[in-house]
Amino acid sequence: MTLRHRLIAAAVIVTVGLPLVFLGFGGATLDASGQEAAATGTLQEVPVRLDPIKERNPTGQTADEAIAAHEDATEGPEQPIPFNHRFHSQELQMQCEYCHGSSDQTAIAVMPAVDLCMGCHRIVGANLEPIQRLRGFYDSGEPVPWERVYKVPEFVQFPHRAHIRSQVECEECHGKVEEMDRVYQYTSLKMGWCLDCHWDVGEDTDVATDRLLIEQYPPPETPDERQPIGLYPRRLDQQYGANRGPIDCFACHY
Amino acid sequence: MNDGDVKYSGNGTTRRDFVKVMGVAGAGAAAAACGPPDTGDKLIPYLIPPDDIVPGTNVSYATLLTGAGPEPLTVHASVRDGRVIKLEGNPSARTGTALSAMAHSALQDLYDPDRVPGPRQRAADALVETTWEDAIAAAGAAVAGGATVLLTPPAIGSAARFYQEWADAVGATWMPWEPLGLEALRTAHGIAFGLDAIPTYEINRSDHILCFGADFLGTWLAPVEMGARFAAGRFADHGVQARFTFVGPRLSLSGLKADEWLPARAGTETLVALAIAREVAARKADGRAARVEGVLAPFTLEAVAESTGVEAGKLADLAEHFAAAQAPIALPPGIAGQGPAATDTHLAVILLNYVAGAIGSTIRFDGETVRPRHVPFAAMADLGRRMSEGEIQTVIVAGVNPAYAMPASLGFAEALANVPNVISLSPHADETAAAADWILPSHHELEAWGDGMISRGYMALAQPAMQPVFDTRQREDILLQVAAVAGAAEAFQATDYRGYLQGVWQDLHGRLGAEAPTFEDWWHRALSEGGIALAVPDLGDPAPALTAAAANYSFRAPAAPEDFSLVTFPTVQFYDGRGANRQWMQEFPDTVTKAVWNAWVEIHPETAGPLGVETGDLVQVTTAGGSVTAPAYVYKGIRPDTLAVPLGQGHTAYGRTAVGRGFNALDLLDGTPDQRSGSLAYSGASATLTATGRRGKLVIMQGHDYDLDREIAELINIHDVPNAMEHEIDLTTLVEAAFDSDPQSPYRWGMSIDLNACTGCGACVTACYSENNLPVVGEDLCGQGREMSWMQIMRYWEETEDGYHAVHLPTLCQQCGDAPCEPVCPVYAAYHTPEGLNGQIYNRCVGTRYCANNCPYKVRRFNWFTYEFPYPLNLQLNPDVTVRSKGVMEKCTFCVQRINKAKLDAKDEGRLVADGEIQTACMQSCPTQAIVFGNLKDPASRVSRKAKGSRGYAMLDELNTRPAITYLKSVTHAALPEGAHGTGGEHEETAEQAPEH
Amino acid sequence: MATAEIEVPSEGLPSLADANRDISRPISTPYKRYWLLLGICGALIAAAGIAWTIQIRDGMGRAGINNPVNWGVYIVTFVFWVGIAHSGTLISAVLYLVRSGWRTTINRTAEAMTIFAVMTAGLFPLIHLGRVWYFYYLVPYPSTRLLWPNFRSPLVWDMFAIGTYFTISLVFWYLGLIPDLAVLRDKFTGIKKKLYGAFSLGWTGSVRDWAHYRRLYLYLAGIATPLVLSVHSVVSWDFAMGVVPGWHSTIFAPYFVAGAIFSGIAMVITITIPLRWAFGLDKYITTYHFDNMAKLLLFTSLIVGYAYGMEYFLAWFSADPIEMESFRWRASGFYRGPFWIMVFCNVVVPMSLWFKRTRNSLKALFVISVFVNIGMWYERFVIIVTSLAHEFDPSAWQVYTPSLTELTIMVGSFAWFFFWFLLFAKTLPVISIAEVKEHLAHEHEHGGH
Repeated sequence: MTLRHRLIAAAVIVTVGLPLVFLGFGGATLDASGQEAAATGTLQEVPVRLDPIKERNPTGQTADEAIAAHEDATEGPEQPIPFNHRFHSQELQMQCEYCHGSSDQTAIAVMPAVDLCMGCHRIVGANLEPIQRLRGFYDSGEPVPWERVYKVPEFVQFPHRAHIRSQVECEECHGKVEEMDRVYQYTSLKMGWCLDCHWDVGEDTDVATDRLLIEQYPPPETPDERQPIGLYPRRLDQQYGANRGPIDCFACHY
Repeated sequence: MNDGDVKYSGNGTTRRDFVKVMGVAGAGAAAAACGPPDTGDKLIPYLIPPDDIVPGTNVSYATLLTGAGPEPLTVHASVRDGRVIKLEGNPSARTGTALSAMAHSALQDLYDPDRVPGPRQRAADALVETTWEDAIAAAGAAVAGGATVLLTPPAIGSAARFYQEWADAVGATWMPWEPLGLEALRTAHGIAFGLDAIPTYEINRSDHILCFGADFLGTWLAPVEMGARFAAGRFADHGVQARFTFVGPRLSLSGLKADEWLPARAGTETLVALAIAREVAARKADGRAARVEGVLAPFTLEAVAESTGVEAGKLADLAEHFAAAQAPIALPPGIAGQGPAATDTHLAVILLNYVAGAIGSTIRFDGETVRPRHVPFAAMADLGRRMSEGEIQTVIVAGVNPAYAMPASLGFAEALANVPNVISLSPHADETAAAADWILPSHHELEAWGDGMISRGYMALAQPAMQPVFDTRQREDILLQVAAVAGAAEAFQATDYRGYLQGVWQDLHGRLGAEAPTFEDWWHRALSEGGIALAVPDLGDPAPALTAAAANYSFRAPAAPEDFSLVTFPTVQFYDGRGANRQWMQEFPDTVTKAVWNAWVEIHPETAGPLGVETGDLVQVTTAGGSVTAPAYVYKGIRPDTLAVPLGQGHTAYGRTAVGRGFNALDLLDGTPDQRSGSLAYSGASATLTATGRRGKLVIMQGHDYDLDREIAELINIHDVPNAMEHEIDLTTLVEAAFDSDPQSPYRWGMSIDLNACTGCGACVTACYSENNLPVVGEDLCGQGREMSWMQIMRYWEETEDGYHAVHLPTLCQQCGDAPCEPVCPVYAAYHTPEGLNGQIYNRCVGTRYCANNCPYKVRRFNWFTYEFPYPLNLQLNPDVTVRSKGVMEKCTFCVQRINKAKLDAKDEGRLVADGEIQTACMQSCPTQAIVFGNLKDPASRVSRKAKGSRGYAMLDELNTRPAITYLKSVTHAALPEGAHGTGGEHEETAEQAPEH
Repeated sequence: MATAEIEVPSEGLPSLADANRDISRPISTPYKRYWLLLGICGALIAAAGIAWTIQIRDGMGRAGINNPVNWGVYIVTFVFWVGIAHSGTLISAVLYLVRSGWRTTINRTAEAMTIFAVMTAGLFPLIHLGRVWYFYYLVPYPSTRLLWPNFRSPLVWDMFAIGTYFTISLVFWYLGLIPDLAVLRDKFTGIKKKLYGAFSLGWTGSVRDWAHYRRLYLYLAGIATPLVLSVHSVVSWDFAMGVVPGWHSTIFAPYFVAGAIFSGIAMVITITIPLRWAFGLDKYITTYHFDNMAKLLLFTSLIVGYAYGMEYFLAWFSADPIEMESFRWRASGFYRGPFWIMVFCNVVVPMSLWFKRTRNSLKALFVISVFVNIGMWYERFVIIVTSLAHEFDPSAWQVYTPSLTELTIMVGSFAWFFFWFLLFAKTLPVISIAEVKEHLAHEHEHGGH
C-alpha cells in the first residue's frame, strides 16, 4: 500500500468518522437528558417568590439625566410623562411589583394608579417639570393616558397570572426593563414566539400538572379541606419530568 | 363570570368611576376595541385605586331587579372594569343562581342605545335638550300648581313609603300601577277569606296540578320560583310525578308541559272549576263540602259540558283523579284567563281548592309570597276620564307606560294630551315619554339605589352596580328636588334618596334589639348579601275559614261569544311590552310558536283550513275594540273557536328595536273591566276573522315540528321509566374512547339536560347571549336561517294516544367525542381538545363551512357579516370572550373561559376542579336545574350520575358521534301509541342501523 | 400509428399543404365579431369581479347560502367546471393510449378546454371562503405557528388533486403544441416568428425530434390517464366523506367520474360545432368524429342514469328512514324542479342518440349537448343543496335560493372560460396540424379503402 493510498484512507476515515463520533456523542447526550427527563420525583415545596430580587447596580444617573434619557431614547413610544424605568429600578432600587402589583391575580398587567405615583411625588421631585405635569393630571382628576407598548391581539386570551405563577420572570417577555430609559416592545408577541416556550420538549404542563395533582393531592371530599399550596407545582422538570406550557389552542384562543 | 367575592358600594360609587377605568382591561379585552370612549392604544389607570378591586377581574355586586317580569329577583351584577357585563341570580336567594330571560336582558335595557341621554323639553313637536335645573324648576312649578298625579310601578319598602310621603307633601295623588296585575286574585281572596293577600302555591308538594290558565312557568306571579317548584315535584326516576292538567282555550308555555288538556271555551273555566268542585265535594262529603254544597249544586257535569265544550266524561275522569289526589292544587287563571268575570273564575278555583283541601296544605297564606298592592285597571281608566275632562293639572309618569299599556279604545293617550303638564321620569323614550312636555330621565335599576320586600320577611337592597351610562338621575332624587322647588323641602330630612333609604333602614335596625350589630356592619352585610331577613312576628292563618259571602256567592254564567273569542296573553320575551326594546328578547324565538321579531294571530287548523289560511298569511281580526291585520300562526294548541294574540309588540315609540314590530294586542280590547275587581278583561272578547288572501311575513325558527322518530326529542310514559334503558350511555366507553379526551387529562367535560324539567322559558338562551357576546342579526337574517344563537330550544310535538305532547329540546354543541366537524376542517380550526371539547379557533378559521355542513345537530353558526354592537351595547361585551367578525365559524364552547378560569383557580389551590365549581352560563340560569355540567371522568360527579340514569339517551346516537351531552327523556302520564319512543320495540332496529354499536 | 382499421371517409381529402393553410388560417387578424365576443366576456368577468369584491367587503352574507345550506352555487359551479375539465385528458391521453384515431382532430380543443376549465374551477374554492385573505392557511408551508393543514380533510386532498391535474394537463397540452408552433414559426415573420420560435423550442422536425417527442408524449399520456379517475374521485369525496344523508355514499367516486366525462364530452361538442363552422374546418372535423363523441355521450349517459337509480335503490335498501326521507324529498320536495330537470337532461334527452340520424345531425347534437351541460350543472345542485337542506335535525330544515351575487359570479365564470378559449382560438391551431397531416399522409398512401 503506497503512501498515497494511506493518505486517502486517512482522509476518508477522518471525513466519515468524525461526524459519526459527534453524532454518537450527540445521541448519547440526548439519551442522558431523556433519562433525566424521565426521572420523576415527588412534589417538594419550592419556595414561593413572586418578586425576583435582581442585582441592582446604580449607575449614578440623576433625575434630570433620566428625563433627558427618556426623551432622547429612540425606541418605544414617548410617554406623556417621561417616566424612566432605569432610573426608578436601578437608582431607586424599586421592585416591579411595587407599581405593577397584583399582576399575578389577573389577566391584564396592572398599571399603577396616579395616586401611587403621587405617594412619593407629592414631595420627591416636586420641582421637576414632568412631575408638575403629573400633579396637574392628579389635581384635575384625570388619569395619565400612558401610551400602550404591548398589545396582544384581541383573539388571544393572555393571563399574566398563569405565567407569573409558573415563575416566568417578567424580563423573559418584557426584557431588562430596568435598563430601559423608555420602554419599548422587547418581544414580537407573535404566536411563534409564544410557542418557543409552549412547544418545548416534554409534556404539556397543563396536563402534567393535573396528573401530578391527582397523585399528590387527591380531590378533597369537601371544599373546606382544600389546602392551598400557593403556586402551581412548579419546575415540573425537576419534580416530574418534562415541562412546557399548554399547546392546546383553546388555552389561549376562545 | 362571578368571582365569588361580593362587594358593596360602601361610600358612594367613585371607586367604580366609569370613564376612568374604561379600557384598563388591556390585553385580551375584546370590548376595549369598540365604541366610545375608545382608549385604543392608551392604557388608562385608576386615579385612585379601589382597595378591593383588581383590574381585569370581575366583581359581583348584589342588587335587586323589580322590573324584570312578575317577580322581583335578587341578582349579582358582574362588573368588569366599571361596567356590568352579566347578571346572575343571587346564590343565597330561594331560586339560587336562576334567572329569567327578562332578567338577563335587563342589561340590554340598561345599555339601550335609545335611552333618553339627558333631560328633554318639548318645543313645538320636538323634544329638545335642556338642563336639569330648568327641567326641575319647571316640574316643581307644575307640581306646585296642584291636581298632580304620580304614576309609578307598585312597590313594597322604602319606595312605597317615599312615594306616599312625597304625594302627601306636595298634595298629589300616588297611583302605583301594574298592567298585568293581580287585582282579581286579591279581590277573590277578599271575598273568600276576607284576606287581601297572595298565597304561596307549593306545587312542588302537589301530586295533581290542575291549572285553569295561569302561565305559571312563564309570566304569572313567580315564574322562576314556580319553575323550581314545578321541577322539584317531578321525581320521574322514582316513578313519582305530579299529574298536570291544563284547562283553558289555549295551551300556553306552561300548558305545553301538561299531561292532559281540557280545551274549555274562554271564560267557562269558572264552570269547569265549579263542576269539578261539586264532584270532589260529593266524593269528600266532609264539613267543607257541606258548606259549599248550595253554591255548587247547579253545576252538574252535564250542565257545564255543553257550554264549556268539554265532554262530561273527561270532566268526570278529571274530578275522579283530583278527588283521589293526596295533595291536589288548582291554579287560578292567569292573564290569559282573565275575562270579564275574572273574580268569579278566581273564586270558583278557590272553592275547588277549598273542597279539595288544598287551602292550608298546598296553598298557604302563611307562605313567603308577598306582592305590592296597586290600583286596579278601572282606576286608571277613571284617571283617563278625569284627565280628558281636564280635572288633572300635572301627571308625573315614572317607570310605567300607560300610553301604551292601556287599551287604545279608552283614548288614554289622547286624554294625556289634554293634561297641561305631563312629566316623564322614564329612562326610555317610550309612548308616554313621547307625549310628555318634560322628560327627566331616571336611572336604570342597575344604576340606582332601592330596596323592596321580595318575600315575606326578606328585605332586599338594591345598589348601583355602575356609574350611570347617560346623564340621568335617581328617580326618587328627581322627585325630592322637584318637591324642594314645589316648596315641600322640609317634609324630608334626607337630601337624597340614599340618605332617605338609610333612614328607613335605621328604623329597621332599631327594631332589632340590643344584641344587633352596629348599623354600619348591618348595612354593609345587607349590601354584600343583597338583603336582610327580618323577623316576622305573625305569619297569619295558613288556612283561613271560608266566609259566608263566598259560601252563598252567585256566579254569573259567562256570555257565549257569537263568533270567535279572543285571548290575549303575555309572553316570556316581552311580558307586558317592556321587553320589546331588547334585541335579545326580539330575537328569542317564542317558545310556543318559535316566531321572532313579530306578533301573530294563533288559529286552529280546523279554522284555518276552510279559510285557506296558512302560517304567515295575513288575517284580519276585528273586535268591538278595534281591528288588526297580522300574520296567522296555525296552532293546534288552541280551540277552533278561539283566536289568540300575544301582548307586548306594536310600539310606536320606545326605541329602534321596538318600534313598528307586529301590532299591539291591546288595540283589540274595548277595555271592559271585571265588575268586581276592576281588572282588565284580557280574554273573552268576541272577534271576527277574515282572510285577506295576502301573504305576510312571519319568521319561524323551526323547520319541522316533528322529529320523525329520529331519537332527537324523546317522550316516554311514566310507567316505562324503569325499563327505558335502551338508550343508556355507557360512560366508560364514552370517556375511554380513543379520541374523546386525552387519557392523561383528568377531565372530560360533559352535560346532561333533563327534558322532563325543561319548560322552554329561554333563560339559558339569553344567558348565553350575554356571556358569549352573541350578536343579534335581525328579522330578515333570521328568516334566512342566519341566527347566531349558540343554543336553541326546539319545540317538537310527540303524538300521544288522545292528542300530542310538546317536548322542549335545548340544542347546543354536543361536544362529540367523535365529532364529524373535526376531520373535515382543512386548517384545524375545529379540533379536539385534551379535555374532550370540540375546540373552535376563530383566528384560524378560513370559513369553508364544511364543519357546519357535516354537523348533524346543526349547532354551528357562521358569521355571514360583521355584526355591530351600537354604543353603549358594546359596553356589555364580555372581555373574556373574543368578539367574532365576518367569515368565521363559531359555536357553543361549554363556556371554556369559565373552565379555564376555574382550572387556574384550582391550580392555585393545588387541587383539581371540584364538581359543581364550573357552571356554564346556561346551567347557572336554569330555574328548573334541567342542565347539569361537570366532569364525566369523575364517576361521582352529578353529571355522571345523571347521564347514567335510566332516561338518558344521546341525540341521534345511531351516528355514534358519542356526544358529551346526555338528554334525559321527558315523562308524561298520557298514554303513548304503541312502538313510540321509550317503549321498547323500535330500539332493536335502531341498534341494527348503527353499525358501530 | 395503426389506423388501418379505422374507417375514414377518404373522398375529397385535403392535401398536406391545405392542412397547413386551413388550420392555421384562423390565426390572423380577427373580425369584428371576435372582438365583440371578447368584449362581452370581458364585461361579464368585470361584473363578476365587482360582485366578488363586494362579497369580500361585506361578508359571505352577500351569497344566498345559510345554515344548514352552507354550500351553494359556488361549490356547484366548482364541481361543474372540474367535471368539464375531464374530457381533455380522456380524449388526449386515454384515447391516445387505446389508439382510437378519431381523437386527432379534437384533442387540441379538448385539452385547451381542460386547462381553461381547471383555471375556472380553481377560482371557486377561493370565492366561497369566508376569509379568502387567509387562503394560504390551506397550503402546507412551515409557518412560525408550527401549524400544518389537516391532511385528514378532503378539502386539502382536493387542492392537491386539482393542482396535479392542472400541471400535467398543461405540460401535456404544451408538448402536443410544439410541432405546430414550429409550423407557425415557419409561416410567420417578425415578432410573431420570434415568439412562436421561442415556444417551439427549436423544433426541427428531424427523426430524432420525433422519436423523443413520441416517447415523451406516450409517457405523459400514461401519467395523465390515472388522473382522469383520481381528480373527480377526490372531488366526490368532498361529499362522500361527510355524514350528510345524500352525500355519505360509496358510489360517489365512479358516479362522479362518469358524470364528469359525460359533461366533458358534451362541452367538447358544444364548442367544436360552432368552432368548425366559424373556422371552416369541415374537412377536418367530420360527422365521423361527432358520431364517435355522441356514442361516448350516450354511453356515459347510461352510466349516470344507472347511478341515479342506484342512489335510490341504496337509500331504500339501507332501510334508514333518514336516508329514505332525504331522497323522497329530493324528488318531491321544494327542489323537485331541479331534480326533474336533471333527470330529463341527463337521462331522457341523450336517449335520442341511439339513432344514427340524430348522431349525424350537428344541429341535434348541439342542442343535446347543451341540454346535457345544463343537466349536469343541476345534478351538482341537486346533490349538494337538497342534501344539506333536508338533514338529520328536522327543526333545522331550511331551503336556499341563490342570490344575485352568486349568479353574477357564476355567469362570470363562463365568461372567464370562453374568454381564454377565444384567445386560444386566435393564437394557436385549434387542431393538431402534425397529427392531422400524419393522418392524411397515411390516407394518401392507401387511398382509402
